[in-house]
Amino acid sequence: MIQKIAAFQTTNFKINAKTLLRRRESGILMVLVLVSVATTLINPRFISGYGLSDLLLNTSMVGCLAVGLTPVVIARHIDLSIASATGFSAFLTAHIIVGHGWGVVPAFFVGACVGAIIGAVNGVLVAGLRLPSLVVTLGALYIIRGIDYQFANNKQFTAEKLPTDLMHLSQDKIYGVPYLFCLVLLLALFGVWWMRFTRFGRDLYAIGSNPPAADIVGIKVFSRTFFAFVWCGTLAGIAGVMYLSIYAIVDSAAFLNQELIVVTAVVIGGVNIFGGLGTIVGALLGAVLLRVLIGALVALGVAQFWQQAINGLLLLIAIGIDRILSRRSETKIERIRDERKMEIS
Amino acid sequence: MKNIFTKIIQPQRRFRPFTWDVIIMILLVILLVFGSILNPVFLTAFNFSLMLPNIGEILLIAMPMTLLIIAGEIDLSVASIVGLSGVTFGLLYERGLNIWLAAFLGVIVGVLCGAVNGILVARVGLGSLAVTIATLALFRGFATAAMGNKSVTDFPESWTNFGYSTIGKTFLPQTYPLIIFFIILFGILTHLSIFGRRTFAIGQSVEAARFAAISVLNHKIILFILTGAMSGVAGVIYVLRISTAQYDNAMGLELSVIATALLGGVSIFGGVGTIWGVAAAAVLFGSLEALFNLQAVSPNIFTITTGTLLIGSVMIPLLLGRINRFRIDRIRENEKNAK
Amino acid sequence: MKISAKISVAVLAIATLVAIPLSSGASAAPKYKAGLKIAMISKIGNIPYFDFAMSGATKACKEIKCTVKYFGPNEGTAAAQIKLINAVVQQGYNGIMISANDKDALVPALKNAMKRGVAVTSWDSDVANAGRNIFVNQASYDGVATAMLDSVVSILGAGKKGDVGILSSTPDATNQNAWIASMAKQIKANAKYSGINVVATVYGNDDPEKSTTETQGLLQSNPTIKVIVAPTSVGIISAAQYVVAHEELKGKVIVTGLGLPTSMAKYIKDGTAQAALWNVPDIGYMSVYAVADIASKLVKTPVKAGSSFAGGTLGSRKAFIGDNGPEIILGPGIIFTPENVDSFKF
Repeated sequence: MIQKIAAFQTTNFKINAKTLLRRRESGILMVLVLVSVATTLINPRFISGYGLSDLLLNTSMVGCLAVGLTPVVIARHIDLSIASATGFSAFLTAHIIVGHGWGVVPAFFVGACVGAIIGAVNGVLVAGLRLPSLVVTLGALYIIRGIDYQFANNKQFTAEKLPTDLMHLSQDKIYGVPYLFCLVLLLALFGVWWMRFTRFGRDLYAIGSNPPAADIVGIKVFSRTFFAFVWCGTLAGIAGVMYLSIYAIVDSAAFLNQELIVVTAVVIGGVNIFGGLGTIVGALLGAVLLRVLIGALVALGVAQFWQQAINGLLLLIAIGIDRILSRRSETKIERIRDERKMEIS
Repeated sequence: MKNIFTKIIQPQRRFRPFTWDVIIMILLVILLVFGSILNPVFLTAFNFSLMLPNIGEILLIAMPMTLLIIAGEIDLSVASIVGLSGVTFGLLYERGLNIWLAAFLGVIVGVLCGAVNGILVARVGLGSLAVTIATLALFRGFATAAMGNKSVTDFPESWTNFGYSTIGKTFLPQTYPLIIFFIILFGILTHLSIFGRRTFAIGQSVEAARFAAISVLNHKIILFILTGAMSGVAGVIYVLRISTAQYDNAMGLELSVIATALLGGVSIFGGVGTIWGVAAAAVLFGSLEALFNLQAVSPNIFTITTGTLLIGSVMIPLLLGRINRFRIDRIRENEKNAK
Repeated sequence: MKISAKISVAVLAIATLVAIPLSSGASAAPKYKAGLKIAMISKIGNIPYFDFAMSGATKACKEIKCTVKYFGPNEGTAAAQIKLINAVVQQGYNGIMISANDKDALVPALKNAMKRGVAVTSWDSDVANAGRNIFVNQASYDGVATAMLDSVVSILGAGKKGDVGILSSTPDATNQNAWIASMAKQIKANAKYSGINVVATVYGNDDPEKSTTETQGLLQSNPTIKVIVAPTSVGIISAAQYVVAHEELKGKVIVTGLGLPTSMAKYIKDGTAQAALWNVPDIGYMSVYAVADIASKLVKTPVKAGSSFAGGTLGSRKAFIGDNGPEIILGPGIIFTPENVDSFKF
């Protein structure tokens, strides 16, 4: 059924899907506002002062990764190696820029390159050899982390050695919005243009909705899917540099076991895990909502031992709401389709 | 109709002696031989008596996970269930409950967790990957909330011996009769029972299974409950093995279990897999890690090897398949020419 | 040992540490068994702390002509350590020195090792008494707690009241829980610390991201906090970095706790943080001597109170029976100041 909707959206997105998708994202936005307002009423410091910019800074990394992962998930794939790629890029970038005494711009360039290479390898295996992405990227998760461990070998980079302008980058902001979050917004903007307004992006929706059909109608499945993985890797690399900037410390365990958090953010953002559905904006909102929820639980002083359980429950609710909404839109689409059929006949 | 089928299937049968589960068993034999040459300690009863308990929980959970993946679903929450049932067992025992009853209730918690997963996936209709990511957090969260920063450790020695010691002077750990029983049970369930046939049918095509009057939803719920129950058993055994019930028992075990199942030749797309392949994969993993540790190879290399084997498990059958197809094409051409 | 010589000058001894007489009789070098093989098992293989301890261990091994090998598991769990212990036992090692991830979980494996004639010392983080011959304690739990409380008092000002938040590592970390419990006990018992009001304890799981989020939440829900105590070398960096990153907090919130001088130097110098720690290479050094003493049967097992352990250039230590069986204490700890922090290379 989901495939049907997606196929429908890809062909008619200008007319109907737009409103439908907007409703999905406005739903997340509403929950977001609701949680923020409620938390602020109880604890004003949640948003006031440096609260808001902290929140956005915290979201930068997961937001960046969610924006990266979305095209991959839309193409009915997954990248579980994303957290390993982030961690490895963080360490390798630190190693290279500290060794050469480089600054901010080369750091992001190095990080993005490291990530892009990892993404390209995943892409060749998944898109080129048509191997299952879950297995390939689970393997890559282990391999990349293993190489990271071996390469880092107990070493650690702290604020002492890392370039100061990179540390300052995470503290600078425009109108209270951290530079790093602006960077994520720029990347998301590019993603939106790519996924929504280019042939390239629309092809990914088609691939995710129905892979065999995409092959049959002559979509360049390899190049589209390959580029989705490279994009995902590149953003993981950039997120790695953000890690350096925000936490000012990196070792081989950086961002260990965080892959499912990113998947969670994407799912909360309404991107369907079976492909073909969802938007970059939604995924970014999902990441913000996830961090806001975590931040809210902490700010409300919820006993720490309960936080994880509440997180799990909220995630279940988010998936449940998603299901209800998509069911509703299914019936609506069917109704529209029936009406059209009547018109044609 | 029958002729067409035999024509299509037969050449493939004839030229495909090496499915991945066979390869993994050959690899295991090679490893055992190679390892015993490399290190005299490796192939000894003592080494195996130490190695086997480490893979006990993985073996236990990988069995129902095999069925679950064959049916086209997945459960990422298993490690959290291990944690939660262990915590339940520990806390109830600490409160003075009879230890047998506490262990039983620990397993029951596993069953309940499995039922929650199953109902959410089959009845509510949510994707199993998404649901079990959520319940991964939820169940671990319950374990954390219940246990907090303490741990239960004072289990009776006879019970912790069960988790760690061997039977008399043999190399077989005391838990293994139980584990072997479950492996055989799941072997029969998967390959020799109607239940197993139905699971394969669902994995190959849900639509077709429905037409064959299989109650797909109930079947999936049962599979999730089985997975939960075995995770519960593993949870109790894990507590006894390390004689500690803590909120973070077996954290991250889910990926090892899934990696074992996939390495054992279970297809992530469902419909394909064998219990013996998965059991061999678990022993392969355990032996390989033990050998690496004995040779004082850095654990990092083991991590990298794990990943490489995983990718190999999907890549090699693909290449073999290509070679196979090539050979079939050639044989067909020869047949044509002969005519 | 150059470093330790410097330290003994620069050190501010922690007041309540058990003072151990440094014996001058180390010159009569005891006979160690030839070809001793010692395995050093750390909590986790990816943090520099254990590397520094290993440097001390290697140095000690050179002196008594044994070999020591480092084993760091990839995950900080007891299950991973059990595998390493089993492997080490079979490789014919004579001694294991282990920093335990769990108090009880390792006991069966370590018991098994001792049954096969392997000498076992725990160091840095203890296991239950049944699982080791002796514990080489870096500093008594009370001593570490006192050092941190003294630091808090020096920040608040003597006799002044102030709110304090604690950022720990994982909720079930043995050392951190013991230190936090000891701090609570001393605040109640000692009038000197009566002004300290601990408002919350949060757990950063030794992960920079979680530690940062928890620090942030700590300050948001308790804006009156003046001092953050982080008894973990990972959490303290995150807390200090969080304060540095916020102009609004500078000078209002000070971080203190346990941290490596090389990674804390920047924060100590700019006044964001104070930190104390024991001499990390020395604890590795001392542990090698302890395990070699037992493996060479120079000290009889089970270890009794009063048994003397050789300590190379650090001097010998007398064992005593602690809360959890026999232990020796390295002591004293070091409080790092802007002046002395650069002189430590760990």
